[in-house]
Order: sequence, then structure tokens, then C-alpha cells
Amino acid sequence: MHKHFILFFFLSVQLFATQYDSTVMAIEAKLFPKIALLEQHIKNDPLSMLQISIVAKELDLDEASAFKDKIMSNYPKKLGNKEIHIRLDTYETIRQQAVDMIIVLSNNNEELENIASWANQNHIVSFAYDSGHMKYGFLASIYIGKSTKPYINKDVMLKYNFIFDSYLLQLSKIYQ
Amino acid sequence: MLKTLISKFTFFFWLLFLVVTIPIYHYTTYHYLDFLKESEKEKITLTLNAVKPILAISISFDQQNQLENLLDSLLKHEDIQAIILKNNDNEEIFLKSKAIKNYIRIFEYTTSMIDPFSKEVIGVVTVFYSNKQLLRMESEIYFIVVSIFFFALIIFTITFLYIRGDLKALRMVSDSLNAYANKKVINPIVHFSKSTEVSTIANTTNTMLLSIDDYVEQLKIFNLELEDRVSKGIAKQQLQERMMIHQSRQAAMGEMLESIAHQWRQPLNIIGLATMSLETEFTLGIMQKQEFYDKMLIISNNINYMSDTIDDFRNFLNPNKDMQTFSPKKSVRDVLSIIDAQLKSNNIIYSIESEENILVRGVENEFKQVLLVLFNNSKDAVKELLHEKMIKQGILDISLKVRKNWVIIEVKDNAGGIKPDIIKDIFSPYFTTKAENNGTGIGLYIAKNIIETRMEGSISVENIDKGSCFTITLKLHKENV
Repeated sequence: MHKHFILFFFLSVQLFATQYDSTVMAIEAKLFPKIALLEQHIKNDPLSMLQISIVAKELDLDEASAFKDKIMSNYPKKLGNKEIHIRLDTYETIRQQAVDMIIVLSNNNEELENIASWANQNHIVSFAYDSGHMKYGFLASIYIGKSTKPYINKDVMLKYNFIFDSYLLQLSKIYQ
Repeated sequence: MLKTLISKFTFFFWLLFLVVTIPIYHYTTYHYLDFLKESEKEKITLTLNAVKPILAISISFDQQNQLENLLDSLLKHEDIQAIILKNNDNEEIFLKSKAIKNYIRIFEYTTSMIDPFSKEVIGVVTVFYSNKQLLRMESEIYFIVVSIFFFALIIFTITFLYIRGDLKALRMVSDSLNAYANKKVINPIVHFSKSTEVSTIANTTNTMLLSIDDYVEQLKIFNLELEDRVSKGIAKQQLQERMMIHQSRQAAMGEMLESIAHQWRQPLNIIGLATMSLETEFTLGIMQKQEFYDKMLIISNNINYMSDTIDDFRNFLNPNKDMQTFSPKKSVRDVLSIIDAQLKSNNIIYSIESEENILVRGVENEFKQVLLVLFNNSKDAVKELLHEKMIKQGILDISLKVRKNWVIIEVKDNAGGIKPDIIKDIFSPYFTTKAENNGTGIGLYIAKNIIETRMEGSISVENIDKGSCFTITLKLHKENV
């Protein structure tokens, strides 16, 4: 019986957990902090710390943790003059935290929309793991086409007054 | 070297041309092209500095495609020939170049790229750029400069040819005047100048030369007439003078005769008394031999004296006109000896004061005639004063002295002098103060004539204390110098 329960649990976890591409994750782990740092409010923030939150369902926390590790391996000490601090949050806990940027791994449409809305209203730079989620109001993601480029949501950027370095915008793909 | 107007004009004209064009060329080639080179360099630098942050951010975001696109677009610029990106380990991240032609000069500009996050140097970008555009601009500028040069050349040449036409006409005027001045040849000026001034000068010169030629012809005729009239006048004058001289000599002869009469009166009386005494004594038979010889000696001496007087007279009237060197002192003595009796009979005493060995050149008889005129004039004037008892005795002082190369002969008397209002006229012909029949008025005129024209001297008169002083100045003969 006990064996059956463990097998069931394992199968259900495998059944409801999302599959994340490690290559995409690696690229995003490298680029997202840099994109965030090129946002003017973060860039001009006198605090020498960049607070990042990776929001994921509990089932995806391992993936989120792997994401965190990738970021930390990219920027073990500092990125520019900012020390990077990364937290792992769920949909429920994220609203209680003070963060500079969030990376959302969720695929629940309602949650995604709410998180994006909350982040924009609080002027938090929001990144979607899946560029397809940009439509929910995330500020940025990664565009993977012939080449991989930062993907910036122009409407959100303008509506919520996010200001990016012009050079970044030049090499980015604009979502609108 | 630059003597003619055309050569001066040509020289300064082309000098002006060079002065205008060379600075333009110099400024364009040295300053403007340098400026362009700097400007091109600044442009490349500016472009690269503008692109540099994008390059850096592209590297930072691993945007290889973006990087390549960007650098490819840079390479499209015709002056950018190659771009090399190197990381801090000097490894080439990117290298792209065009086929560079040999004749193109390549400049190199290297700048470092700064990471936008760490602000550290992440590599260098080197751009090799050519001056193709600059060369094209240079060519265009050279073309403009050369065009300006040739345009200026054409304008200057047209102006030069136009003005040269005027100058040529002036040159023809000059040549024509020169030909007329030197060869008396009239070369009509045929010119094509359209300038009013030059045409006027050329045409006026033509007219003027023809007029001058007419005038010259008229002048020649007039000269011939004048020469004829002058020669006739001279002949008339010479005739008149000859007549005057003749008259003068006649007068002198008259005076000489009077002198001879005076000279002969005393010896004639002596001879008369001696012959009368001889006749009486011979008639009475009391004539003694010794007394006879004595009387004959007296007669003989007086006859000799009279004969000498005749010789003096004859010498004076000697027509010899040859120039000779003579002593003026001796001439004075000779003349005084002739009129000695007259002077004495008029109670006039005379004196001669002279330096020794004075010689002058001239016709002695003519000089004596001058002296005779002066002495007789003094004698006549003294005679009048004696007659009016204004003086008791006449004085005639003659002095001869040498001053440098000149002999000064002064004849002074105490005859009261000459009235100031007539003193300037006394050497004029037919001017006399003597009573009618006593003077011809030509004596002093002839005297002046002889002294000035024949002896190249001068004669003047001035009033002195009690009379007048005639001064004759003659050249001292070289042997005495």
C-alpha cells in the first residue's frame, strides 16, 4: 500500500509539474538580471542590492531553485555594483515581499495576469519565463527566433513608466 | 627692364593674377583639405563612439547577430574598410574587412569598449577607414580650384588682350611721335582701340602731327624770310656802323687837325722868329756864322718836332686792323702827346699812374681812338667849366692797374660829372651834350662798340666827387699772367 502511495505521488508530480527547458533557462538566467539592471529605477537605486524573486508553483520549486542556481553561478559576487539576492516565492507569498524584479515560472493564466498586474502597479520589473506569457502584462522576456533577443513589452513599459537603456531597446525585440 | 607701358602692364597684370590665384590654391589645398581630413576623422570617431555602447551591450547580452548586423551596417559605409573587435585577452571576437585597394590610404582608429554593468573594459574595437570620400572631395575641390584658376585665366586674358589693344594704340602713338621727333617722318596711327580716351589721343596725335608738319613748313618759310630780313638788317646796320665809324674817324681827324694846329703853332712861331731874325741880320750884314748855325739848329729841331707830330697823326690814322698785343700805357702816352698842346692851352694838367708791363690784345689804333674820345670829352667839359670860371684848372687822371686777369683803366676828370638823368644814355648813338656842331654823338657809342665787340672788354661811367670816372676793363694778356 505504502509503495503504491509513493508511486502515485511520483506519478502525479510528474503529471502536474511543468517541463522547463534548461537552455532557455540558462539564457534567461544570464540575461534577465542584466535587463533589469538597465531599467532606470533599478539602475539609479542607491541600494547596492538587487532583490530577485522567482515565482513558481510549489510543484515547480525545484525548477525555480535550479533557475536561482544558474543566476548565482552567472553572477556569484556582483552584477555591476549590485549584489544579487534571490528568493523563491509562490503566488501566495510573493505579494508580501519587497523585490526589484520577479521571474515567473507559472502557467496558470489567472495567476500570471494577477502577478503581472501586481508587479506593474508596484513598479517591479517582471519577467516571464515563457515569452508567450507576455500577453498577460509581463514587462520582459526572451525572444527566441533566428537569434535570441531580449523581449520588451512596449505597452507595459510605456503605461507603467519603465525606462530602459536605449541601447538595450536597440538590440531588443519589441512586443506590442 | 620694364621700360615700356606694355611690359609694365604685362608684368604687374600677371603678378596680380598669381597673387590672386596662388593664395586661393594654397588655402584650399593646405587649409581646407586639412580641415576636411580632420572633419572626416571626427566623423568616424563620432560614429564609432555612438556605436560603441551598443557593441558593448551586444557583447554583454551575447547578441552575436545584433553585433554582426551592426558592424555590417557600419561596413556599408564606403570609408570603413575593416572592423576588428578583440576581447581583453586580445582574441578576435569579430573581424570583417573589405577588399582594400592599394591606392587607398588607410587610417586606423581604436577605442575600448566598456561593459555597461561592471564599467570595466571588455575589449577594443578597431576601425580601419579609408579616405575615399575625402579623395573624392579633394578631387572635387581640385576641380573647383582648377576651374576657378582657368576661369580667372580666361577673364584675365580677355582683360589683358582688351587693355593691351589700348596700350598697343598708345605704343603706336609713342612710336609715331618718336619717328616724327627723330626722323621728321609722319607715320599715321592706324588703331582699333574702342576706348574713347585712347582713340582721342591717337586721332588727335594724327591731326597734331599733320598740323605740326604744316607749321614746320610755314616756319621754314618764315625763317627764310626772317633770315633774309635779318641779313639785310645786319648789312644795313654794318653799313650804318661803317658810316658812323667813318664819321667818328672824320671827327677824330678834325680833332687831330686841331691838335696838330696847336702843336704846330709854337714851332711855327719859333721857326718864323728864327727866319725873321736871320733875314734881318743877313740884310744888315751882321750875321755871324755861329748864330746862323744856332738859328738853323732851332729851325731844324722844330721842323723835326713838326714832322714827328705828323708821324703821330699818320700813325693814328693808320688803317691797320690787325690784332696785336700792345701796352695800354704807351697808347695813353701816345694819345696824350697828340693832345698835349691842346690840354695845356686849356689849362688842363694830367697824370698817368700805371703798373709796369701791362699788355692787352686788340687793334691799338682803335683803342687809341677810344682814349682820344674820352680825353677830348673831358677836355671839352673842363673847357666849359673854365670858361664859366667854375674851376681854375682842369685835371685829368689816368690810372692803369691789374685785378686778377683784368686790366682796369680809369679816366677821371674834375669837369663836374654827368647829369644823373642822362648818364644811362651817354653810350647811345647820336647822343651828345655838346653844343651844336661841336659833337656828333657817336664818339662814346663807337668807344663802347670797340671795347665790347672788338676787345671783349667793358666800359662804364660813374660820377665821382668833382667829375666823372670812365672805367675800361680789358682782358690781361696771358703772357703777363
